[in-house]
Amino acid sequence: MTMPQHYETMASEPDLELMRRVAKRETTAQRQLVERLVRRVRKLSRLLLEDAAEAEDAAQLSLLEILQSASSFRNTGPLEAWADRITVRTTLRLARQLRAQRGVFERFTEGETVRQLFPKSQVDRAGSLDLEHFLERLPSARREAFVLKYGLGYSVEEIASITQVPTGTVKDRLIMAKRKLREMIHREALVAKKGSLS
Amino acid sequence: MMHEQYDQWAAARDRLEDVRDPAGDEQLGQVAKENPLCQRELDIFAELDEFDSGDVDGDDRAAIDRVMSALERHQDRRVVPLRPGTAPPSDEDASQLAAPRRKRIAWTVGLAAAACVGAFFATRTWETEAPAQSPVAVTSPSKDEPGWRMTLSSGTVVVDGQDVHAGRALTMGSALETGAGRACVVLQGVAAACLDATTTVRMNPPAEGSQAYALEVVQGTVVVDVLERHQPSSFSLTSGSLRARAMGTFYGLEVGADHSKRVAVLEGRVEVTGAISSAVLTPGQELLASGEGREAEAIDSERAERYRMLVPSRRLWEQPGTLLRIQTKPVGATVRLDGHVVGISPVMVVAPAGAHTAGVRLDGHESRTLTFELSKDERDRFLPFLLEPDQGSEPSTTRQKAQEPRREDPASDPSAADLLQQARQLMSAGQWSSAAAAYRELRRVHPNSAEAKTVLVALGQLQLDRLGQPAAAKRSFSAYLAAGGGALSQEARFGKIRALRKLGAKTAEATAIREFLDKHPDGLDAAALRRRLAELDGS
Repeated sequence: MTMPQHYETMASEPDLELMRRVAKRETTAQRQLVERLVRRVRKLSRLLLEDAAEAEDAAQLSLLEILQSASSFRNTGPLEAWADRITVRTTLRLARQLRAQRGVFERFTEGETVRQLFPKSQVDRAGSLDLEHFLERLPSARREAFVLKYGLGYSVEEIASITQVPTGTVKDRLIMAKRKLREMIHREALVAKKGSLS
Repeated sequence: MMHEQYDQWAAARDRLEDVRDPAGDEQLGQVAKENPLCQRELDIFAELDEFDSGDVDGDDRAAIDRVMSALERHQDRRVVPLRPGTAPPSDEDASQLAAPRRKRIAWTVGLAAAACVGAFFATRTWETEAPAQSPVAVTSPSKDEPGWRMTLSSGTVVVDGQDVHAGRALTMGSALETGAGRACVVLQGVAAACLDATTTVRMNPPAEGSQAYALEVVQGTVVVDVLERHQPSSFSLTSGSLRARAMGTFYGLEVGADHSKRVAVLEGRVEVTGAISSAVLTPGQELLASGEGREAEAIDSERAERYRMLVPSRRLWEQPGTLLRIQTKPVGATVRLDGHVVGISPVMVVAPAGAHTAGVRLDGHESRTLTFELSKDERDRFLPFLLEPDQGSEPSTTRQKAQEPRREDPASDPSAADLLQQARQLMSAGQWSSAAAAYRELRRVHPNSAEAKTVLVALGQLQLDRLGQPAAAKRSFSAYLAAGGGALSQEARFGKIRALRKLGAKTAEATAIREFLDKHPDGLDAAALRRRLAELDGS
């Protein structure tokens, strides 16, 4: 598996100029940057988080953070990679906070009550095994590792640093995620063949 | 053969994962072309690479607008900081916003855990920071750029297809649906509007250069409280060509399922215009605009009372405020805030700084009240109430209460048929969560009706196929069967089997299949179930 193309280049001069203008709070530059990154940031947040509404909020927070951090942008890599790092950290931090708070209240309330307090946005599924369908079935830790590795091309060491777990744990999560994916592909084929229940 | 080849291919792919081997990649690609399972895996991985593929769409545009709006307010120092619990990342990239908020988060999350554990056992009522709702990037609109903000939500409320709750800023042009719940929204400095259940409105922006705001009522009942400082008013409720313009007032507009439109005025005056000549309504008058008839008459007293009940304390229109999450265990209690009914728990409501009293009441349980103080800088407050069964009642009375149908007040509770119709409409519209909420509401309000039992099967199918809740689905199907079953027993048994299968409960699934085959040996799915049973028995 190769690294995504955009990780192999440095920022261009126009990008550096754009970020200088964003740092000076020029509205047209800020909008230009948001328009360029919005789709990427929203998709990345959505891949990382199970809940669509939480992902939408994470994307907005990430974009705000990217704009506010423009002055710290350096020519150490492409703009998209820098934005990805901020998006990942913002999104995973939000995810951790939500998980921790859910955990506290789940100890004292029934599952249905917790679901009402933390309603999940539901999206109708056609039942096909697309990427989102697969990711939904992964525990969040494996999902995060999988997206960071195969979506962003991060190394195991980088993922370990971001998710604050040992490298061995990251490797294990990646193996388990792929095993799950392959098991689902097998089952999907079997169901299609037998015309079975689901 | 195909499966074995896929396993071998996958193992080879793993070995090549971090190795640059064009020849190996080429070979894997060739195999994948002939094996759909390999191709499936490649397709899924390929999707991961397509972060920014495609054109910017409407959702992207909306996100851009929200971010730019929030950014502008940050820079103008006119915005309340992003709510606690949503701080930016703590790396060196984080800029000027990060430092002060990081401190706040550590404090609030810590307090949440400690206060929750301690207070629960000590007082049976615990107060702490609210569990995080999805954060609100855009908060209170500025004076020169008004926008709607939801200040009260009870039950499921949907904006532009997404479930939302009180505290959220709403974009001009959004459509809001209450389903089985209710909601209040405030256009700061202009008006507050409260929506009854099964109501849909659109928050139309004013024409360019104008400050004439309007809320378009597509269906249902909306009661408006035009704020005093916005006199003379430029606010209207509209429905089709009908326009009810406030002239300093408290009034409502109902649009029935038959498209009839009724305007009723409780305070102030309202000018009604539309396809026919205009009329000015005064307090105590209502006007039905349907067909040829259009005569002002005395307001129906029950309608007036219902309108007043729909709008809680005017204090709640003061902004900004603290988001209160009022939760009860069990859920379904009537919630009052400062003496006004604000909904059925769980309720989320934005309340201003100062002293408040919250009260909850549920039949057969002890009622509870709590007086508390909100400070100006407090963003969230979680108010959970544990409601214990009422021990003071005589046993016979308690039993009698349990057996009696819940009080059915035609003025405040929709009929079972109405709720069923509402649920079906929501299903047709693809609003699965709202439809499930409507089914649950039907069962809560009319527990002894025939519909309360039959909807269990539809609810179970919804939970299983649309909401991804197999455990809840199993409970729904089992409840139907436990109540004696009926014409839908076969569907309920089949649904239960599917739910158990999704839960991975193989033994229980096999038992359920045997029961199905015993009761419905010639059922539609009997053949497939026999194959499945053989598969389970052989595993």
